[in-house]
Amino acid sequence: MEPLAPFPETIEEIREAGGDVYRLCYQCGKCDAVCPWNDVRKFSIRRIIRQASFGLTEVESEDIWRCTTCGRCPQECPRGVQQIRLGVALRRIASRYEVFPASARSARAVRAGLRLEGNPLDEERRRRADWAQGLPVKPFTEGTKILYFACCYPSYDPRLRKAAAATARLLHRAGLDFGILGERESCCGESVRKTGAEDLFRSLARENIKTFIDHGVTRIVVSSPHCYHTFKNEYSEFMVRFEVLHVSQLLLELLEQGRLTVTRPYPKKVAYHDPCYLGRHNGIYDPPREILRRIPGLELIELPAARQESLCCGGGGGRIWMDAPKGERFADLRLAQAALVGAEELATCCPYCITMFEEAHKGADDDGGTAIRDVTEILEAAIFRT
Amino acid sequence: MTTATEFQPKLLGIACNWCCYGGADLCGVSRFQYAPYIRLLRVMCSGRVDFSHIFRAFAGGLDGVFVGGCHINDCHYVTQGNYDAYALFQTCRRILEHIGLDPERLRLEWVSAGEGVRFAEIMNDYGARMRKRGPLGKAEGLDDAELRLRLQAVLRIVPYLRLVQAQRLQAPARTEEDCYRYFRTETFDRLCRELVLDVVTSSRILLELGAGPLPAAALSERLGLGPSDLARHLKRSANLGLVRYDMNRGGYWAA
Amino acid sequence: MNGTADGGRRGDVLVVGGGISGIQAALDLATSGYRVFLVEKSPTIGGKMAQLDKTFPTNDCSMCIESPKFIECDRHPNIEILTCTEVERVEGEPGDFHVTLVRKPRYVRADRCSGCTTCVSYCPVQVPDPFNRHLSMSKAIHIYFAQAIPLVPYIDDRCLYLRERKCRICEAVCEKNAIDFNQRPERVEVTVGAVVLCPGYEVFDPRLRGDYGYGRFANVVTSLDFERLLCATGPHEGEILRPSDGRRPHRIAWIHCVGSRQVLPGGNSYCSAVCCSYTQKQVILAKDHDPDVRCAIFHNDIRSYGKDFERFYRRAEQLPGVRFIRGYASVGGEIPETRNVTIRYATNDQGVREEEFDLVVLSVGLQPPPDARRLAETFGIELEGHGFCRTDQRDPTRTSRPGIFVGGAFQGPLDIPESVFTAGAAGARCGELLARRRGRLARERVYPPERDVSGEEPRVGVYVCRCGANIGRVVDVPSTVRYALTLPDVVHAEESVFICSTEAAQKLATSIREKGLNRVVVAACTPRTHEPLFRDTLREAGINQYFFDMANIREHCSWVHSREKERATRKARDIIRMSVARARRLESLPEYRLPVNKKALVLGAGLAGMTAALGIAGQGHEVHLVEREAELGGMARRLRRTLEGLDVQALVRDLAGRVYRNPSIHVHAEAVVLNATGYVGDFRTTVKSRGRVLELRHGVTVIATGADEYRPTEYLYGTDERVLTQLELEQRIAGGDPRVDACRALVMIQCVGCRDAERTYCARICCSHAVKNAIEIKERNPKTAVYILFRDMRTYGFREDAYYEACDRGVHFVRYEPENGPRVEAVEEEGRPVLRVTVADPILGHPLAIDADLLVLSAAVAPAAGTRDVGRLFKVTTNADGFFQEAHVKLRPVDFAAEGVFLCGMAHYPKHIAEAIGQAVGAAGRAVTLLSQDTVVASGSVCTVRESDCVACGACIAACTYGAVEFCETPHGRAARVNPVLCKGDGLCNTKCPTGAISLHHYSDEHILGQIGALASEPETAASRGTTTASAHVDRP
Repeated sequence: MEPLAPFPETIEEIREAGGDVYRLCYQCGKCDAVCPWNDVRKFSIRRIIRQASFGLTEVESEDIWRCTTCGRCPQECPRGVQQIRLGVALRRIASRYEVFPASARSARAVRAGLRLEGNPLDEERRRRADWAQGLPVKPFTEGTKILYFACCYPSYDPRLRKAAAATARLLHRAGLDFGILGERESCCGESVRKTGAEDLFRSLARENIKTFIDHGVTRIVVSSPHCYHTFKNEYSEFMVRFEVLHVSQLLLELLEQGRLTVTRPYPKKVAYHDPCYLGRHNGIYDPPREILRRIPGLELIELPAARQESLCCGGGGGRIWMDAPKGERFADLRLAQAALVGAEELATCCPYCITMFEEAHKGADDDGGTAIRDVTEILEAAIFRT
Repeated sequence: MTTATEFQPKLLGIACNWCCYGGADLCGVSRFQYAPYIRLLRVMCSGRVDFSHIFRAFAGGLDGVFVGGCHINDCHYVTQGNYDAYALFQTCRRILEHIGLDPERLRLEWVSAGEGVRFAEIMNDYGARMRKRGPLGKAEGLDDAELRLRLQAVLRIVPYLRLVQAQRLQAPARTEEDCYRYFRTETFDRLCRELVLDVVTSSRILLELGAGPLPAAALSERLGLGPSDLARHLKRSANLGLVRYDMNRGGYWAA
Repeated sequence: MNGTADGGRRGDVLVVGGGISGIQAALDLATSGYRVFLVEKSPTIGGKMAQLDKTFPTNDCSMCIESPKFIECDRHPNIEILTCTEVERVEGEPGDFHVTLVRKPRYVRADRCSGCTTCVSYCPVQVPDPFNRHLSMSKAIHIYFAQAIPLVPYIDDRCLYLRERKCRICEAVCEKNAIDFNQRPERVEVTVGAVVLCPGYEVFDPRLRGDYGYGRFANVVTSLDFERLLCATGPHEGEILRPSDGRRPHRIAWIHCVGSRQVLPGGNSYCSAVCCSYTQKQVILAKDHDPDVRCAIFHNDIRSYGKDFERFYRRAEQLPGVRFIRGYASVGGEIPETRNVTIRYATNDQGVREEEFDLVVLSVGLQPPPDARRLAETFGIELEGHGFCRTDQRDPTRTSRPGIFVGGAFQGPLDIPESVFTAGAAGARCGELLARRRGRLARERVYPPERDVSGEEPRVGVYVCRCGANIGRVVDVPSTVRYALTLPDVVHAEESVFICSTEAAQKLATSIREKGLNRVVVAACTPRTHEPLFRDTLREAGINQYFFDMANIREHCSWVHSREKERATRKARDIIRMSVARARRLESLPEYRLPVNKKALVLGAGLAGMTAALGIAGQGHEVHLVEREAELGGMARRLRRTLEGLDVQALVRDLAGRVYRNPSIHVHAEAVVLNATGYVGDFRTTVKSRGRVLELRHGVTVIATGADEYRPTEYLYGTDERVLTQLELEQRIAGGDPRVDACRALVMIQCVGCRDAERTYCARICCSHAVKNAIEIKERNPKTAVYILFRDMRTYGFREDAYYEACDRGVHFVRYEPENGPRVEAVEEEGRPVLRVTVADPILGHPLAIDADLLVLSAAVAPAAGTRDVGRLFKVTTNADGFFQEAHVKLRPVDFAAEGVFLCGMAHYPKHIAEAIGQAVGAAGRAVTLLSQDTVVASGSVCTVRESDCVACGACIAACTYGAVEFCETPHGRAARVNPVLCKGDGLCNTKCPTGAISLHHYSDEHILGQIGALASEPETAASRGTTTASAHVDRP
């Protein structure tokens, strides 16, 4: 092999893109050992870090687009290397040069829609509130106490609209004063940022922040851990703070206060899946479980890799817009695990996870295997007559 | 598992405190297993080992004697006694051979206090060899009386042996290769033959004559020596005034 | 030791912590004439070392080498041991500290308890045994371990009565009425002049952070748990059985750096410094226990930086079925059916592997003692960033408070020898502080007068030790005892569980007196560790200590024939028979008391030498400091600052200044040693200094001759002036060489001239040295690209933080394998002359070509040129690597086997400045311990001449290179005579003497031939002498 010379220019470029955290790496390989990719194929984040440290990154390679930002490796890394930051930096550079491998093109494609319509699903902005038709949901106006920020998927995706609807009914049943911003709101921008589209993220964020401020929003309840993460941890980059609640936190609060009471048994074996951005990234493991525990007849079971070690659904880091070939889908593994522990239903509370799982479910040959549920849907069933 | 009938050699080991004994300790500490034939006796330095120790052990019917010291130039003492142990070993091996015993029965090894494994390996190898070799004397086809006489012949000249060993049979220089080389030389063989082995034979003759006078024929028969060899020895002994021939009685007397 | 709260008992030094370091400090101080309170919070002294099975790199039995020191402490008239005791308050100042101690109740009265343990057998409360890391059960009342000091049970808080006011069975069964539930914590006031802190360390608890599955998966254990599993006194008597099902594991994995080298919350950023080697030890022992076991060790760097460590690593690595795998593994999960544990790890080429193991051992790191904060408050000392004791770079024994010193692992992660000499050093500092009052409070050890047995027939007592299961499980002890009784002159024989325990030793002494024994045979372990202890017991019993012999039926029998019980028993009998034969012939020998010349000679005036000299002078002794060079300072003169930022030149100047100003230090510069004779207490060394030849007389010698930097022949060194060594680079940096700052890229290559075929050892300091220089270069010019090409980064201890800092500053670290090492060529690149370094990066899976302006070689530290000559002159030996060989790797790290000669600094092995200083102070302490005596004792095992038999042939004189034998005129004419003081007892002369006139006491032909005779002869049984006995305890008249 022809020896390669370190490439200072690229090293500098990565540093500017905020990715020089690699320098702390002492190559112990712990990141590879915990990376979910290695359950389905050979993939070495350690090698990516190593290449970056010599400026030898192959910017056009598929590999820099694999990371689902699930947060396993940074959590385990003994040297405090922030692999996600590095990954994003590399994608920024790729974006700057407009080099996208086949698998990443779809992730790039969503940018147009986000720029124009504020959502990655190629839907019209004006239809963003359609999901709420016929539901006890009012538009958010000055003075409304809580903003329910439904996130793009629950707003448009037929499957996830169920979750949004469930949430709305529950909040209303609890007598909360909440509203939605509908077409005035835009995607939180979390995932597109992870694909390296920094400017797009910033413009989306600014729009939302402006809207929030204009409407006097102070308290936001979100369905998506990704929105939660962005509002809580990333909008602060814009010098604003909002009180953000994940729907599971709010609902548990309401149950505890007795403003919601569970009336009907739900006699099922339910396994709970920790979404990366709710669990590892934000340390929220128990509220969803607590809700499920409060439902009579429901038997809550744990999956092999739970809590801190939860297996990613594969939808993070913009992967939700990319295709993983059959046999390389984490969601398939997760469903298999659920089946293994004998779960009748797989519950979670992240639109991405549900999307990925439903796809895997459709793909699964054994029809009517484990059903996929949002925690809010289960709670709804346990409270409302249907 | 060994059966009761199978021969179990009885071996003596003389180990220097600082290296070999330590090696045997470490061997134990490390739980390396070996055949339970050897019994160790501790001396401070392998240079302390003497003709009398080795030949008394054989005379006592032990099947083998092992001497263990520090590696050359690692002696705990500035006296570097292990060179002397090596020289002694060389002489003794030749004596054993000379009196018809398998020289392999005497073994010398350098074992450092760190070489536990090695100690076990040596013990296993030595033990196996000695078991195959069989009991002292019998294996060599000697009856007890004969064996005793031969060893006796050596033991009674130990003072002399010490003297020649110290003054004539040392390697010229105390360096590893010099020492090893020297004991392979003709010179050493010759010296050893003349100064030690011949004297052992003479000693044996005197032992025989101790009981009373014997005609040459009887002597040559008992010693299994050809007339000419016998003559040589007798002449030598006579010159030293150790034996004399008695015309009238027609036999040799111890002087 | 009745802890009454009187006005405060006076002592000289308070030693806090009864681990090996506390013990060492206490013994050194006590022996040099200070009264010591040794305070330990647990129920016994011994500390962590007592829990270890073996010690690296010699695999000595840990307890076996430590427990003699317990007894030494216990018997020492100047040491008062206070267990179950903590320090509550410290007031006052250096020279006069008022300390309040609190003794927690043990509910058993030490003054009454006989250690019979009846209470233990009756106690109904089963509790997990803390000593065995909760891997086995014990009782609420129990003795901490068999060799405990004091050997008194204690009642822990899980006792039924203490919890629920029920039971009190122990009280009922104790014949001595030693149980006392009314005990309450009591205050003890003491006043001392100084304090030594040796609280030791705590092991990292992987349960807290929950990764690695410890506490969740039964078959994941910590390395300390594993020590107990390995140990014959452990939960399964030394059988490695896994917790889940008590089965033997066939596949064991070790995971390195658990809790160490990690900046994660709950982890420690530093390297714990000992885990690599103890893991290798555990691997070797696991293979010893079961040759078929397969071992995998997951690590990111093997840090075999200590003396003989690299060889030890090779030994482990080359064992069949042992894999060292680079990379940290993560514990995947537990397989429900088998309870086996799966492990995932990354490989360079085949991606991530998942593998199944029967047992996983977590090599947990060291951390500060749990009560470090409280200690700091109580003693008013500062802690450093990691929670260990803050110490002074120029003297690691000094805390932030004068008069309070620190030794052992509270200084930071240390191994046993370092703990021992730093503790010795702390003791030495106390000695300096209190020099004036030495001996005021000290008491002499008084032995009963020695009984004259010359008239008596030999009366031999034989004591057969079970050594727990170590001997008892293999050798049939009762029958052996009965057999011993049948041997000639044996009048008493009995067995003991641990003959080395204090209680047993005391019983031994009494039974010697009561049975009127005049010869003693102890059939147990090797005399090399325990002989001194039992000799002392004989003195206690009032008979000459040379009437003792030890039959080694453990190392030489039960341990090496463990599968042949019957033949092992027969062998044990033979060994004992030989021993008895020897014992019967033993004679009473005098020991020689030689006056001690109170001066010291220190050879070499580097940092270590100067420090040692000042230390010795500081305690009021004159010192001759002999230095080859004209200037003092040695290697340190070439260093600028340490990794920790200490100004080395300032330090050298300071030390040299203090040396020159000190009236009791006589400096002999530009000096060579021409000749060295004499012996401990009275050495005579001829030195030529600046043309003058003088004979120096001194009682002790300290060798601090330092080491050299290896002159590389590799990588164009010497042919291209852009290739430097680290020392040369450091000097250039110091000199502000513009070529260094202008450098675009600089490459460092590690392990040049070591860890190779010729020099197999690791030079210890190079990694830190490289990191130090790299950081400095980055500080001066961040644009300079710095590459460090290494094999294993060995920035052990707190130096790991500097490794992290170097990374953070953008220094590139590239690992290389020796078989595929870097290549260097001088080439032109775009008209710029560069040194092109090509090296394969294993992670990149691709060779790198780095164009460097400077190439810096981390050249090995090699033994100083004259080392062997010095060795010959002073009759001390060197190890395989050519560094000086200490007396005992673990417990006598600064002593030579040759009495009265000590070593420190790089002459011992490469080390960092702070380490060298610490060791030098330690050596000074050991030297002073000896100098503080008026006389030293020389062994009685020396040669003597029967003048009537001497033919004056001179053979003995020729043989004795010690010059111990010379001619003298006697009534019988000219004869050889031995100077017993010079005789070292090797006995070589005996084999030269034609008349057997010269004979070595204690190893005479009579003794040796006696043993041989006993072995050869079939057992001479008492039966043949008409008496037999069935019971082992029935004595015959």
